Amino acid sequence: MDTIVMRWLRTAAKLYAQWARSRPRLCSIQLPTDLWEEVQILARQVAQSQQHGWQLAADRQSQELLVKLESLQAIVAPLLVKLRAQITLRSIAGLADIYRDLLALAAEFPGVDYDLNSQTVSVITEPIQLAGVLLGPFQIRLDVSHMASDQEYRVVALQPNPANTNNRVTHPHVNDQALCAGDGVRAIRAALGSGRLYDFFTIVHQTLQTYAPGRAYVELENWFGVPCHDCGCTADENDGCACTRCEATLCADCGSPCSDCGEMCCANCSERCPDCGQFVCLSCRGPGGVPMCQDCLNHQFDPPEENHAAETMENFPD
Amino acid sequence: MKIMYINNDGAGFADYMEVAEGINVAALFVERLPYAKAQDYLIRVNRQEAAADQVLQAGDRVSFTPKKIEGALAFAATSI
Repeated sequence: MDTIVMRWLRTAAKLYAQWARSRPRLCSIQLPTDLWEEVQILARQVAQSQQHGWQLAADRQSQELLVKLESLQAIVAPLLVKLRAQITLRSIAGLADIYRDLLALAAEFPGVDYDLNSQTVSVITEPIQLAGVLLGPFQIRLDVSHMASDQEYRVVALQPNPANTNNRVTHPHVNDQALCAGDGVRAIRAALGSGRLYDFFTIVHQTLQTYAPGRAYVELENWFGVPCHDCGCTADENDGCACTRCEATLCADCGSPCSDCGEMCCANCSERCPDCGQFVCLSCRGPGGVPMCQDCLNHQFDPPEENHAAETMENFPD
Repeated sequence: MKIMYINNDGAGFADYMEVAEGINVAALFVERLPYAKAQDYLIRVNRQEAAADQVLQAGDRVSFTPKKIEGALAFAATSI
């Protein structure tokens, strides 16, 4: 048999064995055995009553039997739904399905691999580009020992082009190799729960190929950094700040605290006091919009002490 | 006839279902996703691309996966 086919067959067998071990067990079913015994007793009583011609007794017992059967039906119906769902999930992916999934993944993606040591199946995507930003190819690594959980896969950038402001963000929706799948979370969980490898990797791949503005760790428009409002250089999110008045981005070297209120302001939201040169934000300006700090303003309206003393002496001559 | 139908949209759905003999891919799509557009989905029969007029056979595995699946962020990123 072809070497490649044998390889994928062996891989599928290992994956199937691993998945069979890791998938959750069937929940135990609590059958209403006591209620069933009561139903059987009542049914026998109805038969005996009718045999002896005790019609009134038979009617009464039949009514009781009806109530018991309705109770039994109410208990059994949800058990049927639960068991049917469990059996359906467990029967979706068999060894043949996993083998065909691997073959299809190998045909659709540039790279597919299974690492026995780490028990991971991985798929390599083609280079991904979103809104003109080239993010490079990604490796989607699934830990098959935890396939029942949607948290056990990583998305690794193979040629990272991370956001300038946060080098752990290699994709707008990937932070520290963890994809926040958003709209794809439930479908991913369903695919992993039933061992549908092909569907899992396809869903993750489509999520990586979709940009959701406003829901990104770093928006693509800011991928190469946010320019400082005052000087235009790229502002680092760890060192910079924002203007308290207009929320403009400021680098670590720009922005000035208001000498009155202490709030950090950009050049548009502050002015220099003409007397002392300190910055004053537009909210703390003096009356009439005078760009003067409070200290200087107070000093301007306080009369000098010697003049005050001379006036006093004049009013009280010897 | 019975086929395996998989819808990877929303919560995801995967189960065997009965379909009419001779139904093709396009007709199944309209039947299952009447308000969606086929060009917005990856449509696969037995894990391979399928033409709209491909007639389904008993035991086929048909999957519809949205091309656009929007991710999110798990918590608010610190931003300036």
